[in-house]
Amino acid sequence: MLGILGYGYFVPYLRIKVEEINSVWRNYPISFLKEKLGLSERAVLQPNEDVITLAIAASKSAIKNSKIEREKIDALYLGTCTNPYDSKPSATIVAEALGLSPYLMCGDVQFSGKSGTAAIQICMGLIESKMASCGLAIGSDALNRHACPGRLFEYEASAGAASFVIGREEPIAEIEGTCSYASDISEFWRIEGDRYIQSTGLSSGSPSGDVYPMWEVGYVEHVTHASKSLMQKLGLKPEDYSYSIFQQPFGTASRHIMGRLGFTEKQVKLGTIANIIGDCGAASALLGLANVLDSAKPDERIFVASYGFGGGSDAFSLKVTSHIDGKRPEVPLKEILERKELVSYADATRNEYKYLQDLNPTFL
Amino acid sequence: MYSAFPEPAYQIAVYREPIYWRERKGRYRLVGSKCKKCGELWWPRRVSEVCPNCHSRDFEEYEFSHEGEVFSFMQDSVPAPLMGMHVYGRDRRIIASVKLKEGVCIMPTELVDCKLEEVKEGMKVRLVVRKLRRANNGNWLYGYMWTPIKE
Repeated sequence: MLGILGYGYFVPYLRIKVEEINSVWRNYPISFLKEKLGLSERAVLQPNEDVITLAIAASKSAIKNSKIEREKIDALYLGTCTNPYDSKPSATIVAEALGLSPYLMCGDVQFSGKSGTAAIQICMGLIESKMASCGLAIGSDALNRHACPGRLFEYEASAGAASFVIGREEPIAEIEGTCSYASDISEFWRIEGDRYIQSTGLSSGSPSGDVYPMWEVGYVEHVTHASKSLMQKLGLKPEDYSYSIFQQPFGTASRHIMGRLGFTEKQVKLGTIANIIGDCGAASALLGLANVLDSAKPDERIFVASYGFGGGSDAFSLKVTSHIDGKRPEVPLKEILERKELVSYADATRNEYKYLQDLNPTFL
Repeated sequence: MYSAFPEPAYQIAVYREPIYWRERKGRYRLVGSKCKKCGELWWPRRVSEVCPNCHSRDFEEYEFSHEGEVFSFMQDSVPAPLMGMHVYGRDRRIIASVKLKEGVCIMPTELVDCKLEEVKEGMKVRLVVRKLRRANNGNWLYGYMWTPIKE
């Protein structure tokens, strides 16, 4: 039975309130940010954190919770769209820090917001084809380093990581099926060498103004196709699921998509974390899934649909098993989200390398 | 981007990439040395693999526990650039020595994700991997730091 053996997560310690960002730029009304977008805070990275350190922290916890020996893991895929290195794998650093066997299939997966779920699919494929026995799929992103100051994206771009051990032996949640939908669309992008993620600009159909351009043809279209196709394939209806989790570029995103697919507020509520921490990119839907698994009971069904700009969507159908009870993390995600230190806008911009000087480092 | 990051890339000595590579296991997950004959432990790993107690040359890798307690700590107000920890934006770091279960003290090392007021001697801490600084050739060097275990 293919499924998730264990999971772990990590979110940075520092946070900034949207009011603090707004006190500097005053470019959007607070009511728009808080009520329409459902944002309150976003994570701020410390200078000593990046995608790799977030991924390591999440994966350490995942391996510990899954109670499998780390030598058994023979596939590792790190899903991220904000890799610290352009031409060097980050997955090898993660593998070495976790102490995995060097006989390892590993690599970085890049599909913006759905990199993490794409990594899960790769691990599933390797295990189903018996090329690997146990895989580690990580979704880790630090979008806040790549959000331009003064843009609406700055209010929501956050950071976080979620890690899942995928395998066959006694899974805590069985993966019933997965379905993807992808097409060429350019609503967000970052060209090689660019510092900031750019977007196409205003969209009249978007619930959030220019924070999510081409909302209808991007997010809605892809998530709807992937989700409906998966439910059709499995012969399930939205009512069969106890929880549903969607990609959360902003706090109210799941609420905008749930009605179109027939899900209700009750199903979506627990998996929504963007209203607490903002857009975690590749970890966004996966952190929502982790939050749901923290309190899910055996035999409950979970629906997950991620979306990556550029664009594509992965939908998953999961069924929680009785093995979950002993394999939850020691500290639930809700408590980790409460542990924080608020910082000023000046600290946040400095920590995220927004004040870069073009100096020769040799003479510093 | 190489020259754009504010962390200095120290180019004071020789090309150091092989040294970073040799020390990677110790830096990421506290792998030291153990004498197979008398069981003596070393941190950092013993480069000359001869045991001074029993003169055995039979060594193995030993991964120290990733949890320990704060033995002593202080706040570093003057950034020490060559201490092996990078400095940018972190001028008030908490420097500590951490005592592991095996009795080995790791020092000097850094406590992260906590305030100075929260730190006490004997506080339980856990290993986390963070960016230490930039390596000589300009890429990032990762290594251990410590964070409080909150229950």
